[in-house]
Amino acid sequence: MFRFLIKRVLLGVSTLFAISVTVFALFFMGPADPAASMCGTKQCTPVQHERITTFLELDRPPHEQYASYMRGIFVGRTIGGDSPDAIECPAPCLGINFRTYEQVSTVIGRTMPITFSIVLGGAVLYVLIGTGLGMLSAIKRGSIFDRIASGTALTFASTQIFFIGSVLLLVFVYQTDLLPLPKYVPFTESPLGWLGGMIVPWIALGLINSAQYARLSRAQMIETLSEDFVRTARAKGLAIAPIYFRHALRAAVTPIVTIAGLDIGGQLGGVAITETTFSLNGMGRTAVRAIDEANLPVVMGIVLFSAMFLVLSTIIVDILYSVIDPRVKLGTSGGH
Amino acid sequence: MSTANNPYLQVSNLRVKFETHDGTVKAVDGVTFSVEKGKTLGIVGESGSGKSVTSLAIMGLHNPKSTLLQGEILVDGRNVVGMPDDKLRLLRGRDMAMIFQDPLTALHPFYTIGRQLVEAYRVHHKVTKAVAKKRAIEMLDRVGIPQPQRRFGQYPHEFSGGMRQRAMIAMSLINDPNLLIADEPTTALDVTVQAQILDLLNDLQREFHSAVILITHDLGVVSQVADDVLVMYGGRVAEYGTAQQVMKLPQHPYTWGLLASMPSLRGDPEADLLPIKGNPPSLLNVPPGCVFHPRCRYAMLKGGPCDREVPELLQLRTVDEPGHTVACHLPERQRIETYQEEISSVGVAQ
Amino acid sequence: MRKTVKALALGAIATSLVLTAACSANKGTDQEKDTAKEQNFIVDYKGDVKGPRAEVAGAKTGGTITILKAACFEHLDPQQIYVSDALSYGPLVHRSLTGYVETGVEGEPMKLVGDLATNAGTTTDNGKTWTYTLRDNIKFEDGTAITSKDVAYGIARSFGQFGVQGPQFLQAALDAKFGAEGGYAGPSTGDLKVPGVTTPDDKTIKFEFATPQVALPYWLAFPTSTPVPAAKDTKEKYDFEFVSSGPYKRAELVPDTRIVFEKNPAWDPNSDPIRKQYVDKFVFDCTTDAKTQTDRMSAANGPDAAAIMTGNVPPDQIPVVKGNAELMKRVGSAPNQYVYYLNINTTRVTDVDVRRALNYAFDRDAYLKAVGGYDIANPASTITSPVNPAYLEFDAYPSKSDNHGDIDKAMKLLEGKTVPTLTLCTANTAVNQKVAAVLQESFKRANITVTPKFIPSGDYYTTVGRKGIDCDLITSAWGQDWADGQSVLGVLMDGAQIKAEGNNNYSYFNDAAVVAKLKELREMADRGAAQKGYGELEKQIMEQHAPLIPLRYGRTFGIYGPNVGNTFLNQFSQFDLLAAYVK
Repeated sequence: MFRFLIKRVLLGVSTLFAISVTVFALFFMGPADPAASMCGTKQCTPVQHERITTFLELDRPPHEQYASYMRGIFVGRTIGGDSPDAIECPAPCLGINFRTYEQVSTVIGRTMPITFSIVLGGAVLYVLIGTGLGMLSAIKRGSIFDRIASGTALTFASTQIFFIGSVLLLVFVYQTDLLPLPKYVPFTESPLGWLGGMIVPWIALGLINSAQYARLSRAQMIETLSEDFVRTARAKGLAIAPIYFRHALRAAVTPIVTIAGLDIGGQLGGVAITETTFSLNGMGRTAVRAIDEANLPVVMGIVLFSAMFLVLSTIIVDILYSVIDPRVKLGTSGGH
Repeated sequence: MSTANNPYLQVSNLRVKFETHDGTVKAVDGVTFSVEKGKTLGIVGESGSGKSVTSLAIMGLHNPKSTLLQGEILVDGRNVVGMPDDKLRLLRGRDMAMIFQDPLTALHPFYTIGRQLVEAYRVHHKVTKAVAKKRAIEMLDRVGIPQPQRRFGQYPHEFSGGMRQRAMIAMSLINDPNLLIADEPTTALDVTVQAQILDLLNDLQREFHSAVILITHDLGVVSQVADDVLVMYGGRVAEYGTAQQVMKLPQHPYTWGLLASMPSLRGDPEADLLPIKGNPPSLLNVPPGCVFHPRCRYAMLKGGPCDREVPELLQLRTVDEPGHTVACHLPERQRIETYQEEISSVGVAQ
Repeated sequence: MRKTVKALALGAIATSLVLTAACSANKGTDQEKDTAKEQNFIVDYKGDVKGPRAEVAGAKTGGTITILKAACFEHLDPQQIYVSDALSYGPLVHRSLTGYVETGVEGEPMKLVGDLATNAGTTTDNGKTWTYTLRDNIKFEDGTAITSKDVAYGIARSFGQFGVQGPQFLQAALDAKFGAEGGYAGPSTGDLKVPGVTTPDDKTIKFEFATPQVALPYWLAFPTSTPVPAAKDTKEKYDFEFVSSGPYKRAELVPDTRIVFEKNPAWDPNSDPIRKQYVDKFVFDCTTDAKTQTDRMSAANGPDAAAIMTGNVPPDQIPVVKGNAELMKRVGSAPNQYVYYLNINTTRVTDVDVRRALNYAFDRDAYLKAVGGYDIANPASTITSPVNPAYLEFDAYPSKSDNHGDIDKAMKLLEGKTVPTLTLCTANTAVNQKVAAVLQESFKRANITVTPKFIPSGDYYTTVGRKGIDCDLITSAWGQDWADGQSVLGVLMDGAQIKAEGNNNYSYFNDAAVVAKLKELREMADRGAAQKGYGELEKQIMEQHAPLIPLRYGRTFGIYGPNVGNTFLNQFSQFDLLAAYVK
C-alpha cells in the first residue's frame, strides 16, 4: 500500500510536470498576446503595451518564465521585477491573474468550492438515484417499471446539460419562482443557502447523469444476477434482500465505482458548460474565460489543479477497487 | 433401483418449460425418479439433456417468471412444485443443498470462505457469529482442508481448485442436509483431484447418511459411486436402473454411446471409439418420435416408429432385472444381441 | 475606445464591453428609437450647474436594483477604469474632478460639468493652464474631507503600474517622457510630484501643459482624477478595497462573482450635481451571460423586476423579444458609438468620382444582412455616430429606396473610366469573409472588380496602419474616446497626423483645407460650441472627397425591469443608474 502510494504520487507529479510544460509551450507557440487585450475595448498604445509586457515579465524567454513560475510554486516570487509596484506572491505562488493582478491561488480558492459543490452534490444525487434505478430495473427486468425507467434514461442521457438546464431555469426559476435561483453560498455561511443555490444544478446533473448510471448499473446488475455465485447464494436459502444487496450489488458496483470515480475526478477540475448554464463561476468557466483572455497563470493554475484531481481520483479509485475486490492487489499491477 | 417405500426425494412426471424469445423450450419432459437417504443417484447425459435443469428444479432455483414447472417433486413428502419462494428457501441449504460445477465462479469472489460458510449456517441457525465460525472451521477441517483456522479468513482466489471445491462441499453440508445435489462437481478440476473429491463425497455420504444426486456426463464416475443411474437425453429419461444393471446390460443406444466414449474403460486404446455422431437436439425443436433417432445408428434397423412415436419407458421383459427400464423402440432381443455383439466386443469393461 | 474589430478578434472582452456606446437624445425608456436627434452639448465652464441634482419626478427612495452582468468590472480601481460598464457604474462610488449630467429627457442637452470641482475647468490662456477649485463638503466614505492632494495622488497613481489599463491621454499630455526612461512612474517610486500638476492649497489643483489642451475637461471626467487617500492605497488590491467618494460604497465584493453597493452616509447630495441616492442597494450579479440575462429580464420575476441587463440580447433571442409587445416597452435600443467603415485609400484611388461611385454602388441591405441583420446593426451614412454631439444627419450618397445602392448614379460617375482591380483588405474573421463577398458583389454591379485579401486578425491594424500599404479598400471600426467630434474626425480625417506606422486614418486622406479646419476646431476652447463645426466639416468631407463608405452603426438592444424608474441608455450605451429609483 505504502509503496503503491509513493509510486502513484511520483507518477502523478511527473504527469503534472509534463502538463505544465505542455500548457506553457502551447501558450507561447500560439499567437496569444495577453498584454494586447488588456486595454479594454481599445488597442493598447505602444507605451501601455510595453509597460504591461515588462511588468508581467512576458518579454523574457519562455524557459525563463517557466523556471520563474516553478520557483514561485516552491519559494514564492516577486512579480513586476524592478517596478516600484512589484507584487509579492508568497509560496506556493501560482502567479497572478494578468488582468486583475489577483493571486491565482486566491482565484482557485474562490472557484474550487463552487465546482466542488456542483460536482460532488450532483454526483451524490446521480450516482445514488442512477444506480438505484438501474438496479431496480435489473431486478424487475422486463416489467413496466423497467421499461419506463429505461426509456426515460435513454431520453435524458441523450440530452445536453445546457438544454435541460435552460428548461429547468426557465420553467421553475425565472417564470414561476418554484425553485431558487442558482448561486453559490458557502456552506459555512449558510448550509440552507448553499443547498438552495445548488439544487437546480444538481437536479439537472442528476437527470442527465442518472440516466447514464441507470443504464450502466442495469446492465451490470443483469450480468451479475446471472453469475454463479448469485445462484449459490439462492441455493444457500438466503432471502431476497441479502441476495441482491450483499451478493449481487457488491459485485455489480465495482465498475460503477471506477466510472464514477473517474467522472467525478474529471469534473472536479471544472464543469464549464454546467457552470455557464447556471451562471456559477467555478473553475471550468473561469478557465474557459482565462483561455479567451490569454490569461496564462489562471489557465495554468486551473489546469494543474484539474490534472491533480484526476490523478488523485485514479489513485482513490484504485484503492477503492482493492477494498471492494480482494483479488486486486495494490502495487502489483501498478494500477489499471 | 432401490425398492424402499419412502424415498427422501420423489420426482414424478416432472416437466420444465422455459419461455424464451425464440419460443418454448421443453428442457425436461416427463421425468420420474426417486432417491433414498443413504443412496446415490447418478444422472448422466450430455449438456442439454435436462439433467442440470432437473436438479435446479428440485432446488427451486429457476426464475419463476419464465419457467413453467409441472409434475411433482416431493422432498421428504413436501411438494416443492408451486411452493412459494419464501417457504421453499427455508428448505434450500437446510434440507437440500447443492454443489456446483465450478467452485471459482460459484463462490463469491469478494467474501472470505469463512464468511460465506458462516452466512450459510446462520441462514438456518439462529446462532452467534462465533458459534457459526466454530462450525465452519469444523466443516473445513472435516472436508480435509488443512489449517482451517487460517483458511477460514482467506478468499476463494487464494484457494487451489480442489480446495475450493472442498470448501464448497463444506458449505453445502454445513447444515447437515438430507439431500445433496452435486452438479458435475469434478468437471472443472484436475484429473488427480477428481478422485479425491469423489472419495470425499462418498465418505461424507456415509457419514451424513444423506440422499445424493450426482450429475455427470461421465458414466465412469457413476459406475464408481452411484447406486442408481438415470440416463437422460433431450429432456427425457432414456434408461433408468441400478448402477449394476445399467453397466452390465445397458439397453439404450444412447447409453452405449456414452459407454463407448469412456476412454479409461476401454481395453484396447487403439480400438475405434464409437462416439455419438451429431449434436444433442435443440430443445426448442424437439425431433418427433424418439428424441434420439436422428443420431441413433440403429433407428433404421427397424424402419419402424422411431421417427413417429415417442417410446415409452418400459421394464425389461426378457431378463429378470426389476426396476431396469428403458425407452427404446428396438425390440429387446435385438438390443441385447446388438450390445453383446457390437458394443461389449469393442472392449467395454463390465 | 477604438477598433472593436481587433478587440473582438482577440476574443478578450466581455460581452458588455463590446457594447460600449454613447447616446444622449436616445433615451429608450419608452420604446425603441433608432434615429438620434441632433445633439446639444454644453460644457459648464462657468460653474452654473450646482448640487444637488434636481429631483426626479415620481422618484421614491429605498429598494434594491440588481445589475446582471456576464463578468465583473475588469477594474474598480479608479485609475484602472476604462471600460464602459465601469465608466457607467463606477461613478456610483467614485467621483472625479468633472463629470457628465445626463437626464434621459429628450431634447435636454448632455452636460460636462464640475463634479468634485466647481466647474468643468477654468483656463485663461486657451488651454495651456487650467485651474480647478473643489466644492465644499466633499468627503471619503470614512468622513475625512477630500482635498486637492487626494486628487493629485489619484492622478499620480495613474502614471504607475496600477493605472496602466486606464486612459493614457492626460499622462501623455502632462509628461513628454511618459512611459519612457526618466518619465514619471507613479507614487510607488516615492515621488508624489506629478509633472505639471500643482496643489497650491487643499481646494485648488492646477494643470500646466506645454501646448494647449482643450480636451482636459473630458480627460478629467475619467476616474483618472478620482481622489485616492494615499494612506489607503493598497496598490494592486485597491481594485477590491477602493475608498468611496460617491453616494454609494462597497458593502460586499466577491471578485468575479458579486458586488454590493450600499448608501454612503458621508456623501453630501448638496455637493453633487450628477448623482442621486434613491436606491438603498445596488447588487451586481457578475456571473450571468447575455442569454440568461435575457431570460431573466423577460420573466422579470421577484428581485429581477428591479433589475437591468448590461449585455445585448443575443441575435437569436431578438425576434422572441420583439414578438412580445409588453416586453418591448422595457427595451432600450439605440445605435452605439461604434461605426464601421470601408476606407478608400485616397493615395491609390485618387479619382474622387470613383470613390463617389463606390459609395453609390455599395449594397447596404446585403451588407447588413451579412453581418447579422437590422436587429444588431443600423444602416450608417456618416463618419460620426449619432451618439456623438458632433453628429449631423445627412446622406451624401443616398441609395434608391430598396437600400441596395444606386447603380445608375455610380455608372454615370464612372462613364468613360477604367477602374483597375481593387484590393480589399480585411481581418480574417468569419463575418469578414461574408462581408468581402457582399462587397465584391456590390461593386461588380458597377463593373468594378474587387479582390479580397484576408489579414490575420491579430496583425490587422498594425498591417493596414502602415503608410503605403497596398490596399485600396480597408475595413475598420472606430468608437469615440470622449463625446467630442475631435475624438472621431480629429483622429480619422486629419491628414497632418499621418505617420509611417500606427495610423488610424486608413483612407490616408490628406486635404489641406480639411487639416486647417480641423486645427481650428481642435483649438476652440468652448467644446460645446465646437461640435456644430465638426458636423458641417464631415458633410463637406463626404460630399467633396468621399474618402470612405460608412457601413453601419453598432447597436445596443437591452431590457430593464418594470420596477426600475428613470433609467435610459446613457452615453456608454448602458442603462443609466446615477439617478434611478425603484418603483
